[in-house]
Amino acid sequence: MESSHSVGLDRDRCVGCTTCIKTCPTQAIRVKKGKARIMEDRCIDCGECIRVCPKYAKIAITQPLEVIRKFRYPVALVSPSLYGQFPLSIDIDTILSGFLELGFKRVIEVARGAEYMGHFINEYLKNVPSPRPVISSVCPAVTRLIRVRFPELAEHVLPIAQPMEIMGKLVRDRMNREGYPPGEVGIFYISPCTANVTASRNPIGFDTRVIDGAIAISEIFWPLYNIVKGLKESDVITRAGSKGIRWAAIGGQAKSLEDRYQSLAIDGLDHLVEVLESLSMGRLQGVDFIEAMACTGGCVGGPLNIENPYVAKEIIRQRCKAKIEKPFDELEDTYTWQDFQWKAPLGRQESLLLDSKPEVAMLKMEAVDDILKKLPGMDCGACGAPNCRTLAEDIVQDQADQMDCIFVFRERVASLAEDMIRISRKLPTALPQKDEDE
Amino acid sequence: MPPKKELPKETFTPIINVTIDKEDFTHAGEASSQIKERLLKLGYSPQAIRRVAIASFEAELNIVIHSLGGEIEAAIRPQTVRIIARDRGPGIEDISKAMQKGFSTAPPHIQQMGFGAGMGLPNIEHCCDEFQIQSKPGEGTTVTMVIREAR
Repeated sequence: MESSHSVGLDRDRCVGCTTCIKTCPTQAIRVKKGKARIMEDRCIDCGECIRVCPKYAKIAITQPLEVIRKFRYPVALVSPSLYGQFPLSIDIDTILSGFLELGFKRVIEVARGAEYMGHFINEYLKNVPSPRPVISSVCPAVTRLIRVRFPELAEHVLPIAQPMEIMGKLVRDRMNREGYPPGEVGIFYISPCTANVTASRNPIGFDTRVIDGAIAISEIFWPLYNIVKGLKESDVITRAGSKGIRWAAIGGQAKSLEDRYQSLAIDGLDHLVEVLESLSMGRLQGVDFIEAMACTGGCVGGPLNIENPYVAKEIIRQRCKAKIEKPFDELEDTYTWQDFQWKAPLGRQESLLLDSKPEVAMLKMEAVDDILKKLPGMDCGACGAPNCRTLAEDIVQDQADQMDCIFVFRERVASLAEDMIRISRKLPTALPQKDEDE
Repeated sequence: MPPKKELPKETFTPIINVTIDKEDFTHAGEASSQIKERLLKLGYSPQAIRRVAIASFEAELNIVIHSLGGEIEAAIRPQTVRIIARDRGPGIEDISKAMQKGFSTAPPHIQQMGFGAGMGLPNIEHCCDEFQIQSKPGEGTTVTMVIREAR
């Protein structure tokens, strides 16, 4: 059965160490039979495990460049993180033109989608009395994290498509109207991260996908660079202004808001979890908007980039220093946020529930507490679960055994050994007894 | 699965018990976090989780800000949560005043940190299905909160 996730395992490289199981924000990974295994209903595709694996065994499942040949009119939908991967000596127009040489018929900038979205966020904040702070929907790892771990905050999430989808829809609509046969148009997102690879396949808030596939920036960079370094003329002129390009790094969204709004820009899932816990308990009054990005540095920190995120962030900042504005044209001005509103609410993902029936869940919880008392509490990971409580839960769900715990196992062996010694000294009284010295 | 047990009827067995030190802002929220995690795993609705989180956190904060130290005790059943926040003193002089929105006895250095807006007790009451507060100056305060899953 094909997984809908974008994080996979190179089994030959995996040594079954405990690194990834401990960093997963939803405790979705276990080590079984010496290899890491991801629990599909918990994985949010954040790519954290890819980042931390010391053996490079965790891989992103993306498509090779060749896949664009299946379509007569392949379109590249480019993340602005890409602009941070190239040195400043190569301008954006040149980078984008390189895609045409690679075989794409059109190249579209997600940064322009970011400019629409900035406009939509201001409209939403102004007109919709939804709970504050509004949490940005730009990062699918964040929205998925909220579905799994913070369902009580679902109504805070901005119910609008992310820039990648906005541009995907727009280019598909436009090419339909221009007469291109829909089946021959292939839209490919050039992705800095696994979360967006999954979102391109399974968009949040919508039933149908508009994007046909995702190609990693790391996959496309060298072919593109080899073309681009020799390009004399650019056929493509960038349509995105600095405001949109700025979204590639943390803080970009917050800069698109009108001055009167108070916003927080948070990068890194561990920091985000702290802030969401705080929000859940009623803090953060007075904050209007939260820009929340799973990767440190923002999108330039995604696991499919090739440049150091801090270097890329500075390159983006330099590219945006001139503060170029590209105003919306007449057609673009007609779009409202409702045109890109989610068709379905965020809802919750019940992966962490002990049971769907509350009474049974309660019994299981008590069983977990009982088992936990018998575990050492070292959270060492040797059993293949990230911590003792998770192992206790797995045991209650019949997915693990108490003897998986190496300490429990050793105690049992010691106790058995003592029994053996004790028994070995006792002979049945009917037989002649050995001397005690022997 | 472990052998079946009957759930105790009409009794609340506390399963969370966290000690809270006076003015310990770093760890404020610890008890509420633990309670919230359990409710998430038990399948409580997002609305109920939110109410419990807010009530419990405000109660924790009150212990941190106003008391000499205390504890949060939570008992959880499939559709009801009972949280008791107890402290060792100094006690509340006038409970009806303390329940007024905006009334606060928090010292200036606490108010400067952004706490002590005077909304704690009213917010707690608003979140709870049952709410009781008892206090004796010189002895301490006990706040009992019951939140039910609305079905």
